[in-house]
Amino acid sequence: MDNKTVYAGIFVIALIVCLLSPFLASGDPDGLEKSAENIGETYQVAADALEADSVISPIMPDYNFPTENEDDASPIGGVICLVIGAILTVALAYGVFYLATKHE
Amino acid sequence: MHIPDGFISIPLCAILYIIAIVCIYLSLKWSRDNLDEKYIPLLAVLAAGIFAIQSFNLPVPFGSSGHLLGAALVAIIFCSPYAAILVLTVVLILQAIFFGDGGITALGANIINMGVVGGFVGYYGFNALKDSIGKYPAIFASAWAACFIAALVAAIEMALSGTFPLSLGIYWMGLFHAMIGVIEAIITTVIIAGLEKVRPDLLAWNN
Repeated sequence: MDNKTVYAGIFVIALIVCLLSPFLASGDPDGLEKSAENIGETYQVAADALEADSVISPIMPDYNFPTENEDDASPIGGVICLVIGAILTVALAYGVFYLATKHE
Repeated sequence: MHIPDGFISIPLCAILYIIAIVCIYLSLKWSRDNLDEKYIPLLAVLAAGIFAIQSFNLPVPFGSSGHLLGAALVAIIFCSPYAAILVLTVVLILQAIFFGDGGITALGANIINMGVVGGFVGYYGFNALKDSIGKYPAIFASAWAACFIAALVAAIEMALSGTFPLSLGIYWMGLFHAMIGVIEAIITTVIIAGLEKVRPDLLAWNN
């Protein structure tokens, strides 16, 4: 397989994951949140930390466009946000490694 | 394992930011000395792959879920923790700023846990185990350990901040990430086995 095929292949796999994730990913709390929920049953500081507001307001909170009601968030919006994220990631990583590698 | 705002005390956030910046500086220095420009596209698409797969939580027992972190994967591909630190730093910065995944105050902590600890445990664990148990078992074990130990470090940071008691934090974070680590181990092993099959030259251990 030549270089271009490998790079394009990895990026296409990333985009497919972005496409499936909003429909198929588990909505259960992650290991940290679940730990905080369990500990918060007997330890108030942990319960309070779960309720803390985030310091900045991100434009795509929880990988979706902001909605009034959390249940209104559509998985299609999620796909769009993830694809935007994947493109931003390629661009920023390319830039960082362009500046931080040896050039002939 | 992305720590939100409110879990780590502000003084500890500041200390962890400073440590993270030192680690990023060392990683940039390693990269400039050791990484050829031909690896730029591979690193860029790997970063996007890790961003995508981090959104894909898989369920684990007892009502929780988790996803690949990816630092062990990049560290083993490049035979260095430093490439992994830079890739994870890029992903974590974008997640914190645009998606609210991981707090902006906890960004230093998240870079240290997932990037630095993940990268070092992933690579040096692999290196220490590969001759005794074989390459692929070593990848599996070190990827699992990268996730598990990163979670324990996060539990210690939360204990220092007074958010979790140390013993309960270690217990629950350890329990859930012992299970999530299996996800890390399987995906890391499968991807590296796939690369070995189609393009072994992209794996640093073959060069």
